[in-house]
Amino acid sequence: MKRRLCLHAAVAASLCLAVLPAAAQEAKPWIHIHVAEGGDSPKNIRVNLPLSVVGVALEVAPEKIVEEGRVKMINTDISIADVRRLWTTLRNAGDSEFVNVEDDGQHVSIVREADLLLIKVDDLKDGKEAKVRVEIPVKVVDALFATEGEELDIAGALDRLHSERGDIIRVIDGDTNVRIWIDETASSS
Amino acid sequence: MSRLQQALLAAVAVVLLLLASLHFVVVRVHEREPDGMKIWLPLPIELAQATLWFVPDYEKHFDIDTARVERYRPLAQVLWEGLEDVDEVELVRVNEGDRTVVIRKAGADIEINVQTDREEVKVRLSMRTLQGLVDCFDEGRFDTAGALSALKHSSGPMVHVNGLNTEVSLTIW
Repeated sequence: MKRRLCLHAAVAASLCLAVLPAAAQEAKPWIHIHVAEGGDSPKNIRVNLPLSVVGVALEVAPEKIVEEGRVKMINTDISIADVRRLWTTLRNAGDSEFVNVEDDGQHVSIVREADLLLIKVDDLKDGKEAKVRVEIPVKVVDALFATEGEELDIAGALDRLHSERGDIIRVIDGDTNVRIWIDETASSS
Repeated sequence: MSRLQQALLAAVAVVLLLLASLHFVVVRVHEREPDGMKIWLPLPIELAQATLWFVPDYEKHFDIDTARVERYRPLAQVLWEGLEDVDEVELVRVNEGDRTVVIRKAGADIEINVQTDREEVKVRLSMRTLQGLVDCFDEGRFDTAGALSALKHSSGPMVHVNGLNTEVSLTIW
């Protein structure tokens, strides 16, 4: 009986040893970007990269765009400071619909569902369908607004994305499809 | 067998062994025309390296604007580390009109393929060679000797350009 127990323990231990390194390898997140454009000159772009590369890409990006992982939003109609204040108020409200606007064939809604912030834009203007779906974890938005003034903390948001899996952004705009997602596989098929 | 014959055989064997231990960059140019140029030129890397011993130090390094490459070196480093555990992966694929660009990791190599209706370009380099080449850009200078050493970490077809009338290839042996 004791021998049998030892044998089972040995088998279990060797199985764990065999599986653990593989699991450790798979834990590395990969970001996948797929852009498909139809129309007269169709275009198809697929990018698969370890997520760690994106963080370093930000660090080496020209300082005009990113400084210490922070993006300064200038010449925009939206005040980041105002959006940050709004977010701070809304994030504590729990699951709710923050924005719901229907106007001239356009429907914009921003909803918080559990730990996700869902932004949906449906545009049926001029008979051309455009859909934008953005799913951002609340903690990523928190990290994005962790700075002050007219800055967004992209590096901080990327840090939080390391633990996320699944679709981040989906855009269907007429003939154009964009999908950005994170998983633990290198290929995007 | 006379002593002279033995000595000759030994000399031939030594030369063959020496040649076998060398790394060659073989340049092949083939113009597909009746009087087209046909070149097949093996260049021993070690010979090029040996030649550099006689070149003054300031001539071995090209003063060029390396800032851009140096800036992206940490990115390359993280990319190598991220790809270490992956055997085969397509990193980038762009299909646009008649042009297809694919960058992929295949084993220990990085492959870049660009294909159009008129031309096909294939580049295949080992990750170690690429790392070595990136390291050659340092403090505003390009290290030629380092680049030659880096090439020795690759083997097989390195560059292959197949145009409408011309075929050019660089192979490392």
